[in-house]
Amino acid sequence: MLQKAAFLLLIFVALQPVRDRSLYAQTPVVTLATTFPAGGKIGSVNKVETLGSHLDEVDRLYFSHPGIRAKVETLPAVISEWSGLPHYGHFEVEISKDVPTGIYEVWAQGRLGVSNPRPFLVTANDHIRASDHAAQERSIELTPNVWVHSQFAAKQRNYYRVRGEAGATIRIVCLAGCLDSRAIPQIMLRDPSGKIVAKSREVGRNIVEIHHSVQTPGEYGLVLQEFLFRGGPEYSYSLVQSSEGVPEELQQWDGVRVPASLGFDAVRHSGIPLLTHTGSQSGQPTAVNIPVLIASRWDSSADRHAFDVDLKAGDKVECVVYSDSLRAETDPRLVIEKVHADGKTPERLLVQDDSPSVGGPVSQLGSRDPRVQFVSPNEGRFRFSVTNLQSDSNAREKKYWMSLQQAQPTFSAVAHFPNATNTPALTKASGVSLARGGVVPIRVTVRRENGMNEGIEVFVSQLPSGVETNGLQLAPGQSEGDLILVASENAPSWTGPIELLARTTTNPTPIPVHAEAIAIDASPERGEPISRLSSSLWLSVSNLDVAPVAIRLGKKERIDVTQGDKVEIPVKAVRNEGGKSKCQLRPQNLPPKATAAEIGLEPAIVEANASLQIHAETPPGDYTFWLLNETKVKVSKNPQRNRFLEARKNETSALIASNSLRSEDVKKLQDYLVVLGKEIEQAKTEEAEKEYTVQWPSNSVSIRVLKK
Amino acid sequence: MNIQACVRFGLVAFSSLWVLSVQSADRIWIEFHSVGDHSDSKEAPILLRGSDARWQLAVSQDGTTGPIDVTQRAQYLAEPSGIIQIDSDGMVRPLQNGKATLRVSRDSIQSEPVTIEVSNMDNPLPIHFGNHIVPIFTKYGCNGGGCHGKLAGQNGFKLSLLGFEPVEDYEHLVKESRGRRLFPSAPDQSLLLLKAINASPHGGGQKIVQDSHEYRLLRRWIEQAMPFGSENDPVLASIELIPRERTMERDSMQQLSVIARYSDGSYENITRTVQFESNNQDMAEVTPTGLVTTRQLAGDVSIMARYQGKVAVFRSSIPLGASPTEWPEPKTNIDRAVLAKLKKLGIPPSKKCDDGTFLRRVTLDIAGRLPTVQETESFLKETDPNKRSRWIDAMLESEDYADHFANKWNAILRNRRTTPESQFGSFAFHDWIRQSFYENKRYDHFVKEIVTASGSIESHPPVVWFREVNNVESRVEDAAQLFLGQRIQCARCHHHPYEKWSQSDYFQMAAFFSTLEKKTGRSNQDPMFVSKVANPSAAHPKSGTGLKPAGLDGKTLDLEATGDPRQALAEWMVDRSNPFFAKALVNRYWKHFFGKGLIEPEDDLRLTNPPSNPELLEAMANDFIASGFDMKQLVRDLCNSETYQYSSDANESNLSDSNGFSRFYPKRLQAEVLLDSLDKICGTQTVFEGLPTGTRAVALPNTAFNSYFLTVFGRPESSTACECERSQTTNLAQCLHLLNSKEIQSKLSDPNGRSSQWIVSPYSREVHVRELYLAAFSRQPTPEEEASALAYLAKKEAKLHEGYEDLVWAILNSKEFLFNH
Repeated sequence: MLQKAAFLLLIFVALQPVRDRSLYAQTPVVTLATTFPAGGKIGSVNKVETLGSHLDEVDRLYFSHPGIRAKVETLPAVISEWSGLPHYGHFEVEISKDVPTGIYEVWAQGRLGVSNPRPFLVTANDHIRASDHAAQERSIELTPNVWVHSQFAAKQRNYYRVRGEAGATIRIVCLAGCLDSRAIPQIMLRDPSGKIVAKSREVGRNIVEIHHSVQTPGEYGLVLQEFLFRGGPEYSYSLVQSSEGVPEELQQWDGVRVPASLGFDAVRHSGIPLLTHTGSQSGQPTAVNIPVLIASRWDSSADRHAFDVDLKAGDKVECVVYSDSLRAETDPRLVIEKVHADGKTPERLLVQDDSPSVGGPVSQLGSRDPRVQFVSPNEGRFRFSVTNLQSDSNAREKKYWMSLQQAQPTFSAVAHFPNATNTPALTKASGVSLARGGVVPIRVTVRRENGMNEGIEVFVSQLPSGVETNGLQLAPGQSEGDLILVASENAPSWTGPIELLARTTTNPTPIPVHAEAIAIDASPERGEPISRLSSSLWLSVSNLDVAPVAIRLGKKERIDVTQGDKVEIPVKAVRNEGGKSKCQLRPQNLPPKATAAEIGLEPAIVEANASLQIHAETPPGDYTFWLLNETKVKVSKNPQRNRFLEARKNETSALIASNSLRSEDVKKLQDYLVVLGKEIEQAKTEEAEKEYTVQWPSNSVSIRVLKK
Repeated sequence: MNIQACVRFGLVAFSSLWVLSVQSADRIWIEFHSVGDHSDSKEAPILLRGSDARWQLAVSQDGTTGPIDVTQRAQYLAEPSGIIQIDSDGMVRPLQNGKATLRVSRDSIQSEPVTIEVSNMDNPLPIHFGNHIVPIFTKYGCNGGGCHGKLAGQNGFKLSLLGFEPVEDYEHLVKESRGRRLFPSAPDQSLLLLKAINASPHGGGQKIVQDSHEYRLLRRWIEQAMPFGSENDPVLASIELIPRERTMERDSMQQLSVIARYSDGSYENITRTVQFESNNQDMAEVTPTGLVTTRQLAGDVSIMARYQGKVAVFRSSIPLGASPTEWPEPKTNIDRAVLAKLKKLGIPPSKKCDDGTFLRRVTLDIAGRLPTVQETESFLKETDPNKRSRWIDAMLESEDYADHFANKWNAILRNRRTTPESQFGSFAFHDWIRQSFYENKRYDHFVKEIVTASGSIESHPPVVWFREVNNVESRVEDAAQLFLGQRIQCARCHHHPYEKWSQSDYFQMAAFFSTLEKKTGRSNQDPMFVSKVANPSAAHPKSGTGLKPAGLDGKTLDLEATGDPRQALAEWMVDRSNPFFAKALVNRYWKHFFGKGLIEPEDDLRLTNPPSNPELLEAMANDFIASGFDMKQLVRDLCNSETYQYSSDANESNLSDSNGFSRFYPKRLQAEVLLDSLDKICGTQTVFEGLPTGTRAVALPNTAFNSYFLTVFGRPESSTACECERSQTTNLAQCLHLLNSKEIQSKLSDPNGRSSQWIVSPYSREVHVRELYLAAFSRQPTPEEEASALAYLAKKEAKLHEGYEDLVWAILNSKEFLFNH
């Protein structure tokens, strides 16, 4: 069971506070809040609507399972001679019979790029939408095992009712955070007399579940509230009265199906002996041999479990505790002590509560779980103790695993499209659209373990036509950097997943870089954004847009420079419509101790040199260097839309004037003209050119620092 | 035993103390302490050694209802003469070496003789700075917080606050300012004495009289070259008051005498150096010489004597003297204790209140709301003799109870929302508190879960308490005040002036929180708190010594570095033998239901602030512990008592009773309850930003919701652990707001409100008037009230809507509505 669970276990991305850093401002791009409903039944066809912002002309949905396909709905034709226009944002989603139960991902594609991913729930049961149930008298009766998808409205509660038969158990399961909803649902079950008999609130984006053994048969009231009474499309949830509890696939949930885990690496633990430890042994140390994988649970918050290991001097042991990363509501602490044979008080050698945090606001790879490499100072017995520091009001299960094995240097990596703001409090999910001549950065974060300190090369395995990158070289000790994609000025339209790989200088076998996505936006009420791993990183290249301004750095892929020398790298500004403002260029990702001055490019100037001074003590090696361009651009969101509408209007008017139509069709077209007039007015307002202050990177160049 | 230790300022030292009263029928006697081997003899243990010695006598005589004080009215005869001098107020002073026999007489009754021995008149005894000089500064306020005792001192001269640091005082007095404050060669020219008698300009004016006892003592100390005393000298162990307890008549007097006992067993009479204080000056006053004078009010009063950090209490009952023919039968333990006291005071209780009054009172107190019209009608009709108990149970099972008590605890647990980011934690903590009351979590568990809260707010909302109470000092002080009723704030900087708590006590408590650290949580406003691996310890601010954890009056604990010391603190707190824990809670709840604590303020339990009915407090605390710290059971016990159900109408005897609980003391509705009640009467709903319509004020998750009404009626800010933040007073702003504010006017004229509904109602005006009285007062209008209301409505026939609004307005401005009675 444990091994099975281990393989089912998905990636954990720790939640840490946002650190202030340079981020990119960006022009409007499609953002998917949710699909409604956010799921469907295996082997069914469902109507699904997209909700979010900048969902202009969304006509495609992509799913992480090939067995789930979507077709945009078509609006009825105005007259029979015309074909119906697409009903943007409205789809028929077909889920084939071979799709297993689980939570998948969906991306929306529209005029403004491909969206961020959102989870999509697939089960063997029916799914329905619910609305207009914000009062007791409008409560909706739950049918067992039918999933209900709904949203919270601000300052309102949602009401349902369920039948409770004597001796039966009422089980209610609610998903919200695990479907990337911002809602924090709280469920309350009232018995027929109105007394609250069960209550639960979402913690840590986990599944919310209540169960109640029915004593009083009758109609039970179920009240759902968003804990902070917020509301809107971002506050959706899915609910089911389950006859069997939470399906196992959902219990093992971590957002989406992904092939490996940064929290628990099943591959690295395969073949390690498993020790099932019981809480009753608390207080008494258990002797173990390495390697070992211990599975246990704490009984209370003060519980301390100890394991004694005999080591030789210089032995390197990797000790990793998995509990927070198993979504248990715990906070483990590890203490390593030397045990004295004479019975004296053990000598404390190492204490770790949380593993060190690596990465920025989105890609943070720390967790509450300890993760250490311990080097035995001498031969003898050492005690590894784990204590849970988390009190729990709900007495949920406090399981943990602890692995002890020989330490091997290794690393793992994640990547995401950095958010379009330099204000962490505004960090939110959004899609991506690469314009012709434009650039898109991908932020890569690595976690180095067990003393791994080599340089790491990150590259893209296959790029679409017209898109290039110079890769990313992370220097020894460096844990974060940007890989920059550059679109040519005639790049064709393309949408699809891209694959990033990483390798070290000594090990040419690359490992995959896992994709990340923002699950929950930063908000004033809850603070920092929450990210999760995604099944893949999707890119969209638009042939309808041209980047207003692009900075091109260097003329060759790699520049060699000796320690202590200076190198001049040519800079060129490519300016298009909307990109005529001054560009302030700030050097980024400089090699250690190297310096380079900012460059100010006035509107009339298109060429300059970036002067990079390499310090005599800069370590030799490969580096990636680029410039961040802060400038103002003017962008019209969708100029084609207005042109299309105007053309449609002219066509309609001409058709009416032609007197070739039946009178009822003329009437329809006249009505349609009125609608078109309104749409044109709306488009004029929405599509008007706006000015944005943006921070866009240049392309990157590789710098090889040579030993003097 | 060294000689200096034996001889305490001209008194006799013996091995132990106990009270001796030499009594007979129609007796008169001297109250004093005898000691050790002399206890069985008639030889008095009073020895006056040295010319500065003195002894305050307290003389008693049998009265009609018990002993009475006759110290000021007795005749004193000492034989032979010339050995001692006795003032008319019972102060004995030595004249020359020798033994004298003292007899006291009054109304031809004479006491047994008492022997007093005088010695060392020609051999002055050494003076101890800490034991003899510092108390003079304390008695005359020189080292008070407003004078030289404040942190920076006064005009260049600094003393430790209330003399708790004699070593520092000695340094300041003797060694600072180049020693010019004291002249051993010419003591009378010492600045200390010149300032004290105001011969040299002194901001504090004249403190002592030249050639007074204190002057002579100070002068002799200077003359002796200002000895400090030695390390081996005995230290003060305790003080005792004679007598300890007495029933006094109104307008009567009682002389008190105070004995100091030292670590070596010696003792002295310190009556004139002690600070006295009455806990109720309306009942009794006390002079600096220890003479208590009662006034016209009946009840219990306590006189505290404080001396160098030690405290003793004299308790006096002042009976009204009424003698009713019948006393009600006590129904519960509470009634037994209350009636016992009332009988002692001769104050008969009021009658039981009527059903409507009870229903309104108990619903407001438990559920924080008015009973509905339907509930009232149904309750009044019901004939079940147990209907009151059943209603109490029903209220305790309601969510309204959870809302009301969550609101109460939310404030003192400082659950605030100061930023948008703190909203989640605030909501979650409130929800946790509310749920705790709803499911009737044991009080000891409730407290433990707060005090030991660890980890994230999301998983365990009581962690918010550590976010809001955000430093070690506040945590120590809040925990002590909230859960133990001990205000130990003073002991952070100096010895507690009114209690026994020292800085060591304070910082040993602080050591429990010393390992707690904040770490990054989900956001800056939702941090995590965990206990780090470290030996729990807190440094004494003066000595720098690391102090190990210990509860107040508890044992010092050796705790593991890898554990959480707060677990040990919680265990000590909730232990059944903890002398503070249960009492603090039952007193807090007593105040909630009765409007006045057995101890006031309700979170200030100390020796110098004794309960008005100690037996009642003890009994309730024991019952509470025995119930398994069951809070609902406590509320049941309180509300089912006859005492709670007494009418608030005074009888002919108990109008002036202010702490005997012989009647129910009316109390103004608290802000949130009043606003909800007002909405109920007006048929309106106050809308709070961000919350669903219909959310009651009493159910608000924190105090950050803007409401002028709630502010003006005293809603607390939740910035301290003190219930005193909630103002229950009445003021002009409240009156004006109720009388003519836009808020009230808009509620009265709300198109969906009660008045508007009546206009279109098919029912008669009589029905409406009765409905209004039932809703507001839980009773039917009297015929006069009904007639008056109907007459007014008839007068406003043309503008009936206005008439109804006026009627509602009048009701909600009535005292009967604004008060729980």
